Amino acid sequence: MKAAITAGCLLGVAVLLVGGGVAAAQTTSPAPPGGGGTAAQLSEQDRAFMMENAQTNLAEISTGQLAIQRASSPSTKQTAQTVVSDHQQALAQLRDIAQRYSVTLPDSPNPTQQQLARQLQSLTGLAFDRTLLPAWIGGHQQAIAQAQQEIASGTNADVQQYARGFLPVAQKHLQMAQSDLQQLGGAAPGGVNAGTGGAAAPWASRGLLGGLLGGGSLLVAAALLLLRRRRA
Amino acid sequence: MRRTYSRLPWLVLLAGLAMIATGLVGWWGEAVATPQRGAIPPAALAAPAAGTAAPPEVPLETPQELRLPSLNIAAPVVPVDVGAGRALSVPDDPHVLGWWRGGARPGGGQGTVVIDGHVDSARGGPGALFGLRELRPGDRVQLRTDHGTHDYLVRALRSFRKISLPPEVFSTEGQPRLVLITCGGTFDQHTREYTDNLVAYAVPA
Repeated sequence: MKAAITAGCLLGVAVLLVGGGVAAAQTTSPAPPGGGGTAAQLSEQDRAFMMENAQTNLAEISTGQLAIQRASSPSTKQTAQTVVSDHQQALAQLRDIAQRYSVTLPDSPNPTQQQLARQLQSLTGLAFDRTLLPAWIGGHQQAIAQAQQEIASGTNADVQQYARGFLPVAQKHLQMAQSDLQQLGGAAPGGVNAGTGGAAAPWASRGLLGGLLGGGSLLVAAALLLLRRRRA
Repeated sequence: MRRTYSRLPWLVLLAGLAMIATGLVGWWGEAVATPQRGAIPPAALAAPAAGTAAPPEVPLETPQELRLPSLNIAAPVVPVDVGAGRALSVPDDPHVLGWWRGGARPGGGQGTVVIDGHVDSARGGPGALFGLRELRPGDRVQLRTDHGTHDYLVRALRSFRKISLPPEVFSTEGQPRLVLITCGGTFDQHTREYTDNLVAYAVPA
């Protein structure tokens, strides 16, 4: 019994040591400032996050600059200034990391983001705000999920540190966009529920149709029964 | 007496057939009578060229009262927002109308001003827009704001299933329009809701 317990403890310690070693191997050390990193020190997750995040930054800067000129609501304009400034800063940091690890980042937003920018170019006034804000909300929700994924599953310490810094900024932007949209009365309506009495409904839908058809059918059935009985 | 009894089955049969026929004719007649009048004024206008300057500041007018002289309707208007399930809210008081403050403003030069109101309510009876289905193209609509009064002319009346209400009804861009929305169609006793939305389209007079 004693030998079994000792063996179990040793096995447990061994598992902990091996597990610790694996965990340590999963996070690479940050590259020394000014260079020294290689692309091999990035996992697929790190690389995918960097690409997506660079495009997010580019898209938010571009739509934000447009919003500073065109948004109809003062609070949306103010949000746009914060969005542009924060994403310019984030993009500069990301480019620095990319340079350190010899990674080439995309220099334009993805096709969907470009399509939104083209759509916004053709809008003015409230229509601009109403198109921009839901898009920003969706875009930031996506960027937050990507940063959380990098923090949870990334392997490079530099990229993860960047994601940790990016996350609260994107969350702040999301809240600002949601608040701006709320001030505009929320998203566009999908319908109106403006009646609970039923008095304006056609009489056919108020049970009268059922009464007439049901009552009529009963009378017809009764008449046929009487006629049949008489013949018998 | 015997003669009357001999005719009874035929009389009953005739009454039954008459009831069925009345029901069917009534159902058909009301289905045909669903308002579809006039031509809907398009919301869309040519998009401005890319890079054009920001739009001029628009006066922030807030609707106060709506009048439909042809139906003898005058009702106060209060701002409303989009509520649960993306449905545009309606004021609790069935005699008060709602203006969607997220949409266009009267006098703003573009977009659709959206006004909604009860057709009726279980507690309050007929609502301010009970008679909306009687509007005809050419009827006048007056919207008083805190800056003045805007006159519109009705162009069309349409009934849409609520689930397929066209998004262009709520367009915040393009040609300036006014839409009045209430409920119509059949009434579901179970959910206490109408199936349709009745929409009257008007343009500045």
